[in-house]
Amino acid sequence: MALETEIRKAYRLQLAQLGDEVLTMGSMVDKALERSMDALARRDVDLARQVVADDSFINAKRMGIEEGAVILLATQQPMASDLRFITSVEHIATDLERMGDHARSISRLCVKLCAEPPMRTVNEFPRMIASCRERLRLALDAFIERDAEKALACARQDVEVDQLQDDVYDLMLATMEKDGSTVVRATYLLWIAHNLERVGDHITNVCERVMYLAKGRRHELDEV
Amino acid sequence: MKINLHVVVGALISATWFLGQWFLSSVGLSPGTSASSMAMAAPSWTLLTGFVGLALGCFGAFVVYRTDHGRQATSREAFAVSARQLRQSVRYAVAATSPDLLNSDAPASTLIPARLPEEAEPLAEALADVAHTLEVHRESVERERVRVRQTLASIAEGLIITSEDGRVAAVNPEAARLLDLPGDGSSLVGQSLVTAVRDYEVTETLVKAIETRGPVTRHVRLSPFSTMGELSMPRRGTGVRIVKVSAVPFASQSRMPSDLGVGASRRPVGVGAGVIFLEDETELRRSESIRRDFVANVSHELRTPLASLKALVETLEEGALEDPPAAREFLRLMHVEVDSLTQLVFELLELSQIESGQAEMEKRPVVPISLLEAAYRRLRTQATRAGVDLRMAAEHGLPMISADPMRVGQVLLNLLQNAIKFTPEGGVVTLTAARDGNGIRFGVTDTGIGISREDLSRLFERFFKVDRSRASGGTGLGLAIAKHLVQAHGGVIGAFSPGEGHGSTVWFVLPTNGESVAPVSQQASLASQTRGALPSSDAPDGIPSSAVPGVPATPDTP
Repeated sequence: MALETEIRKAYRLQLAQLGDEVLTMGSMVDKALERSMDALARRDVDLARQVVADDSFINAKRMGIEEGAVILLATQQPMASDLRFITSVEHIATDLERMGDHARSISRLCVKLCAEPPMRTVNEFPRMIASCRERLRLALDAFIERDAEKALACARQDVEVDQLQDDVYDLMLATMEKDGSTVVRATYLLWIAHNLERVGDHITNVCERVMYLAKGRRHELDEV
Repeated sequence: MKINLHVVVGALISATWFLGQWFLSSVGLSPGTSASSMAMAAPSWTLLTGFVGLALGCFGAFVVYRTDHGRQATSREAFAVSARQLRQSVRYAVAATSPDLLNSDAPASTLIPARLPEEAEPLAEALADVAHTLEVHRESVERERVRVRQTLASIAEGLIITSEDGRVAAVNPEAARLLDLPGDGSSLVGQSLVTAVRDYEVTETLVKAIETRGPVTRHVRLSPFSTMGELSMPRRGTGVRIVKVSAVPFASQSRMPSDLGVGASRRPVGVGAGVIFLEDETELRRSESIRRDFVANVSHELRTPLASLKALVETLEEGALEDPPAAREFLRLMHVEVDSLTQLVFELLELSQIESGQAEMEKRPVVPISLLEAAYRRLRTQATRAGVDLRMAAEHGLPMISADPMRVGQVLLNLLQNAIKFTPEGGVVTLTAARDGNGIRFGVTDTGIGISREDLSRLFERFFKVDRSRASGGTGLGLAIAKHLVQAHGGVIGAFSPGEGHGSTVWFVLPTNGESVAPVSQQASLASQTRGALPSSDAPDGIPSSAVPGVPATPDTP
């Protein structure tokens, strides 16, 4: 009996640690996003290269989470909400890793941009990154609290980043039409906007997983 | 129904007496009766006496039973009571020694029953002693707890204490402020560290400290969601913060298992008992950055005229001295460079005095229009020489302001000189003054080369020059001095431009009440200037702004 209780306790602890690992990975991605945009804002090539290098840690973290989830599945044979939690963790870790990849892409583009002459500022970028970071935080809060309402609210905010990406698209197109010498730089900026928009989509995926975790049913939140 | 022993005994006595009577009567030994008379009467008499005897026996047995039963019932009840109280006492004893008691508001002595049976008295006394001791301890622990809480709250550094299971045991308000935690952070007690803090670099510092069994320190850059870039840091509590994080593990660590298969990557979750100190070094870093930039700028500004002087001297030494016209020209150039150096040193000293508050402001009521007229008169000739049309437009009936006329005049002259310098021949420079909220707004508008948005955000930095070639001369300190002089009057200063080639306006607002301004029109007017504006009151000196293909770092409005 006592042994059984101990095993149960260890299992609960492992589940809690898995949740903590997801939050840790979320923090790593948040910092990568913030630093990639900061590098862009300050034309800081060193910082951009650092973000690219640090992406390997995010990838390693994802592997660690996946490994932990598989071990729990194999050794504890969880059921019901525990099973949903573990499978959700795997998916969320994958989405977080993709977000890290987008931060890396932004940093690589930043390195290229820094080799070019400065161009006009893009006011939409700070708003896009702020929206992505706020939503990431909200989605992870919803994950820890198993809060479907919060996840739904977070998914609904994706439209803002999409709209901002469209604005950047129009702006860059106008810039290129006006001055042909800006084509290369404007294209880089368009890619950056696209990367941020994809980050927003991955956050929506996280929200879908939280909905599944909380309700036990799959929800397609792309259209909300 | 149970057969009572007393009833059986009573019945046996009665039966024995009845049988004895029957036996005696049957053998004719009954006292007081003859054998002949007994022959007929014996059975009925015997039966009668037998029944009477049985009745008496039963009654006696009943009386005995009642008496005994009553006594037994009393004894049983008493036993039940004492057993219950004993059980209760044991429960109290368990409760009294449990850690929950420390969190209970009831005094420990109230947990012990007031009345106990005689047998339980020693136990009661022992429990009362335990309760008293616990109460004393509890009060002492509570006092200690309050003291610790007050100490934590009063510490200037942020502080987080974790327990052995990696959960937050205590957070002080400064840590909550630095890490943007909700409230004073007390609601996070009991959560895992990463859930509470949500910053892997802070968590990792403690993990490393526990792994290495020694203190670990690192600098962590914390950025809230709404700000970008190190430039938006000056407002305490809202911008990017550079925080020194030091973690110290507690000596005895019975570590929570971190090798459960989770987190097999480079950054494990193995948080244990320890303490994290957080020190806000934002201002320190900013000061260092300003000082570094300042030294670099001063060196550069000094080196340029010194290099010219050295070249001129060498040329003279190499034979130019023998050529009087060339020598005179070289001497004139040397004079210019020396003047430039003198001006630089003078302005540096002045800036230093104004910044440190040593420069005295002789404030007195001044009519705004008189300040405009003085500046206009002094620079009218220079404007005419440059082919620039200098105009003045002031609102009628402006109230007086409390200001040092010499210092404000200095600001106006500086702005006017810049405007004339950067306005091509045929352009117009207009000097204006108008009401604005509780202040007077002075402005210098030109039709000159304009200022790009990137340059606007750096305009009031020390040594910043819009003219990258530096062909226009100047030390780059004029606008920095103007900014500090305006701020010393409780005013704000800013600039906007529709873009390069479209002129610009530099404005400042001084309060009419001598305190500080709350201008109403600047936001509205600036909002209409979509290509940017920057009031300088929050722009840090010496820290470059975002000259970016990307993101503006400073706000458009104060």
